[in-house]
Amino acid sequence: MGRICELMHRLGAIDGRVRNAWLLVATLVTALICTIEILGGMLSGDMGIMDAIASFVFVAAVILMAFRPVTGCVLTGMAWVVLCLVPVQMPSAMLLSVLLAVGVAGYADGRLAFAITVTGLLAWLAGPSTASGTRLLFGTMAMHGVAPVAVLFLGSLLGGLAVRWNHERGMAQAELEHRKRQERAARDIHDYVSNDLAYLILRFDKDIVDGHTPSVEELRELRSIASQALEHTHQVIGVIEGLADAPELAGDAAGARNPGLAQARKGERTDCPLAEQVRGIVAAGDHRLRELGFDGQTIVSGTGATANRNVLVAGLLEELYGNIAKHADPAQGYVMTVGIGTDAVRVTCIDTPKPVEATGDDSAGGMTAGDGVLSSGTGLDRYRRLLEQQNGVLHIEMQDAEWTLSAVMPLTAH
Amino acid sequence: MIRIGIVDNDPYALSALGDVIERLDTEFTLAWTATLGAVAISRCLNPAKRPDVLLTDMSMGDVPGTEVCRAIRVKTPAVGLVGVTSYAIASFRDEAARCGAQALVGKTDLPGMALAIRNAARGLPTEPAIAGRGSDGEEASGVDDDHPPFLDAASAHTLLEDSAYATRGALSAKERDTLRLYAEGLTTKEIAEHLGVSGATVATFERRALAKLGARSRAHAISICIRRHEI
Repeated sequence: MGRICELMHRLGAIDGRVRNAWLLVATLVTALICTIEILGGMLSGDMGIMDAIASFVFVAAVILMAFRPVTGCVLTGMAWVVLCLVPVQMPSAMLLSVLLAVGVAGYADGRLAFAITVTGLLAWLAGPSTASGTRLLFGTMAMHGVAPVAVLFLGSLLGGLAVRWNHERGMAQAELEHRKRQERAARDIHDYVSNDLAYLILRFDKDIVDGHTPSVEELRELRSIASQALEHTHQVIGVIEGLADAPELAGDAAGARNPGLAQARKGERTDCPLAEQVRGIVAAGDHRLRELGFDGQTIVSGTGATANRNVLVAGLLEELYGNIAKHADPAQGYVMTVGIGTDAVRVTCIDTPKPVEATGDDSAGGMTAGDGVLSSGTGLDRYRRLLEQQNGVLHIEMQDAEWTLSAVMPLTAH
Repeated sequence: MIRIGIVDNDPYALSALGDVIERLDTEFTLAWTATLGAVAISRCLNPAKRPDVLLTDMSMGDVPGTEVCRAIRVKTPAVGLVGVTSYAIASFRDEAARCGAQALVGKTDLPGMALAIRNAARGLPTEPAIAGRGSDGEEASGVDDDHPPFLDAASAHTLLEDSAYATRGALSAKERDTLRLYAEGLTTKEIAEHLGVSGATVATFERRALAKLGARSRAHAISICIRRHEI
């Protein structure tokens, strides 16, 4: 008894997954056709009362399939087997019903579908109705022998399986799209929001350590950065909630953060779109690091190429500037180069890591609270994976107190 | 001893140059090698790692050798810069001179390389031998913008540093000082001594000032500056 209850439970759970509007319509139409054929047979005298009752029981099982698909297809299969073996007149549409049941079973569970197919065919072969050798479907389609019926059963089985595979593939693609959106949102939060906030913290910490009171202009700049981070957070939340498409945050990196600096770089240069994008990010990045006390430089070359704007290049540069701010020793400076070629962008970066503080010092705030405060430590690993997916390379080396990164990002035509 | 740093993105060429360099002169010692321009720039700007002379390949994948020279020279005159190339010298000569290098030699011209390194260690330039122009070992004084001379390290640093500070269209401090000193009646040689640069550098400051002011002559430029209260 317990096993039966468990089986009913499992069938109920599968029913919940398989229920579908198209299935509802198909089964109800099939049941209607069966009913019409039964009534027609009764009125014309071809079908007796017992035949009709047996057929209506079958129809009830088919109707159940509309609301409890798997339970219904199991009952339909059982009813088919019984009615095949007993000497009753069956409406021809019952074949359609059992084929539908096989299809539903194929969608729900391959093994169940196989079992219904095999038992259904065997019942068909063993039953007295096969003896005549010819069957009429809906009074119009003639089927000779077993082969056509077997083909129909197999076709329904495979059809159900195919629909299932298609559905699962669609689900997998939707899941993949969802994960890509999540990953993109996480990356944007990391690249722009966390880097913006880390920069703010470092600026405040520097002013605290130096005993410097920021001017109104500096406060306006810091406010602008905080406002930008808040706006990016809202955009990313919008993406996560499915209310908006992923924004091109890399595109406005320079213009929105430091419009004056972005403007200063425009002029007689005939830069390709990627070079213009890179220069904007470089101008903003160098400026921020100067404000944090770094004496470094970024060299951009090969700007006459025809490369389009590239989110990966922009993201990596932002990540590197953020890393320098968080982890490098300002006293030792940094050098970054961005070479834009016709087929790839080559980025190199060298700096000297900050000496690790032994204990946290409250007077210096977050700067000595450990890099864990400012960094999740996952940024460059993520970019390495992204680059490798595009046949690029990212190599990091630490030698003689020099931290060096070199990356090659292939440019692909979109 | 002359400490030499070498940067070349081709590891084989780098290895070959590294093997050869100490054999060119007993005073030469290899300080370090690098395959990335950024690393060379960083080390040359670091007093602890700075060599006396940097030998840099002119065509590297991550950053051109000319940009390496410019990035170093604009910050410091303390490193001699010698460009090396497998291509024709004329391909890079002018840009190398503009970027503050002291010489440009072919990778296979070992005697020329040794001479250039010895000169560059003292901050002196070496003009490469190109058919129809210049000669080895002489400090050229041409004022042609298209074929600028190789300058000594100090003058090149002053020029590049001055260019870096000047905003587009406005006279830089050095350009303004040059015109002011001319207006006070000093000669080019006296102005060069006053500013601590070479005569060729003073000529360059004057030429740039005339171009920015749109002046036809020195007198015209001074007149414009007086009207604008620049001097």
